[in-house]
Amino acid sequence: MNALRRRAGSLAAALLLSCAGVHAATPAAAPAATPVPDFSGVWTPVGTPATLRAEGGRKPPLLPEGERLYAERSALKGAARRAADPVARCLPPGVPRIFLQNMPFEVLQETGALTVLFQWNHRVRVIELGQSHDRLPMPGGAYEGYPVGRFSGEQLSIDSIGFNDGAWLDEQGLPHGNRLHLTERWYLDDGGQRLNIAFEVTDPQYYSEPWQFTLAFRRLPRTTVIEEDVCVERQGLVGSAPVAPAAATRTATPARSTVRPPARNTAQSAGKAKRPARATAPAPASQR
Amino acid sequence: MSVRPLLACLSAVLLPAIVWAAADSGAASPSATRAAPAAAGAARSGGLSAAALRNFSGMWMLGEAPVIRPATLKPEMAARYTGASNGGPAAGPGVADSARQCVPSPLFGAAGGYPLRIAQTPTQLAVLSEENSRVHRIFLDRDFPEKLTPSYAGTTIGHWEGNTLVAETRGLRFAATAPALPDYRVIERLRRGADGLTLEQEVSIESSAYATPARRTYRYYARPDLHWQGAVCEEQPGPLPATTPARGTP
Repeated sequence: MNALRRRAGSLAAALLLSCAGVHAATPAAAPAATPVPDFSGVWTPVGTPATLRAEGGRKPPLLPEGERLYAERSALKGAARRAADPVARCLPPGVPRIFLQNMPFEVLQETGALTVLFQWNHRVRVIELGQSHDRLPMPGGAYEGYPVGRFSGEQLSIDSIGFNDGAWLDEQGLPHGNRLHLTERWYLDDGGQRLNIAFEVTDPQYYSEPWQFTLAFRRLPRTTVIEEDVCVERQGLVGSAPVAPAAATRTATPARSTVRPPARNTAQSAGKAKRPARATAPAPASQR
Repeated sequence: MSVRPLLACLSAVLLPAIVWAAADSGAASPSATRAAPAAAGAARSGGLSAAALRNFSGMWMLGEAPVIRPATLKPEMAARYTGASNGGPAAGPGVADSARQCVPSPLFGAAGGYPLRIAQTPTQLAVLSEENSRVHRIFLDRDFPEKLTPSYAGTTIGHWEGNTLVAETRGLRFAATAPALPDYRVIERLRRGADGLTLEQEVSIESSAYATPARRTYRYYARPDLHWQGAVCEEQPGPLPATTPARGTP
C-alpha cells in the first residue's frame, strides 16, 4: 500500500509539473490590467563608448584593487591585450559590455519574459519577468548574471546577480567581481524610437560605492534582421568555412579530420565545463 | 495569466493517474513508467484551445531519442560525396555541421541534455538552444527575400496550417565538415500535442541530390521548471571544442 501511495504521489507530481507547463506556456486570456511599454524590435547603439564613465562624466569610484587591475588592463597592447581580453577570445562580453559592441540586438517581448537576441556571436539573454532570485536556480556564476525583471509604470526594472568574474564592464577593462549587483531601468522616449537603459553598478569588491551610467539605442525598421555573427571566424580563431554558392552544381568540400561528434545527453564532456552542469528538477515520468 | 488551461489539465490528469496507479500496484517497470503519460494524455485530448495549441512558448526538453532516417543519394550523385566524413551528406545539418567548432550550426532538432527555449510573438518564433546559444528564427510575417545571404542558420519562413507550424529553411551555409548539397532546403512541421505537454517536430531535409529525403522526428516535453542558462562553447580550455557539454537530464 505504501508503494502504491509513493507511486501515485510521484506520478501526480510529475503530471502536476506537466500541467504547470501547460499553464505557463498558455498565453494569457485577458490583457494585463496596466499596459506595459513595448520594447520589442531591433535596436542599435547610439554611440558605443570604449570607456564607461559614471553620470556627470566622473570616473567610476574604483577601490585600490580595482584601480590596479584597471590600469594593468588599460596598458595592454597588441597580442597581450588579445590574450587577456575575454571578448577577443570570443567569451561572452557579459552585461553591460555586450551593449557596447556596436552591433544591434532584437528584443522579443512576451508576457513572462524578454528575450534579447544579440547579434554579437548570436548571444541570447533571457530576462524573466515576475520572477525573484529566491526562486530562480542559480547554479554558478554566469557572464550575464541571472536577470529578473518587473514593469513599473513606463519602465522595466531588471535586477541581475549571480555573475562570474570573467567579463569586463567595458572595452578598456573596468573590472567586476562575482558579487556584482547590476540594476537596469529600461524606458522609451522619442515616441518609442529611442531606448534608454540606465545602469547602476554595485560591486563592493572593486568600487567604493554604487555608480550609474546610461546607454541609448535607436529603433531600426521592423523588418530588420540582425545578421549572423560568428565570433571565432571574425577573430580568426578557426578557419572560415566556404560559403555555399547558390548554384546547384557545387562539389563537396574536403572533409576535415579534426571533427568530433556532437555532445549528447551524457556527462562524458561535462568535465571541461567551468560552469557545472546543473541538477534539474524531476522530469516528467516519460523522460526517465 | 488564465487558470482555465491549468484547471482543465489538472482535472483531466489526476483521475487517470490515480486509476493507473491503483490498477498496477506492482513493482514499477520502465514500460509502466513510460505508459503513464500516454494514457493520461489520451484522456486529455482536445483540452486546449486552438490559440493554446498554437503557442509553443516556453522551455522544452527532448524526450525519447529522435527517430532519424538518413537520406538516400541518387546513384549519380553518390560518387561525388564518396569519402565524406561525419555522416556524409545523407546525415544532413545538425549532425555534420554541429561538429564545427563554436559556429552556429542549424537547429533542426535539439541535442539531448540541452533544453530548448521558444520565444514566440505574432510575427516570429525564436527557437533557442543553450548549446552554443544556437538560434533558429522562424519568421511568420514575410516571404523569402529575393537574394538570400547564406548563413549557418539559414533563413526560415513559416506559416500555420491549422495548428501545425510549417517552416521552410533555405540559404544554409555549409560548414567545412559538411559537403554542400544542391537545392538544399529543410521543411519542419511543429505541432503541440493535444494534451499540450509535448511538442512534436518533424523534419524533412531535401536536396536534388537525394533520391529520398532525410527525415527526423523529435518529441519535446514542456519543462517550466527549467530556466535559461546559456552555455559558452568558447569557454572550454585548449583548442576550440566541437561542442559544449550537455547539462541536465534528458
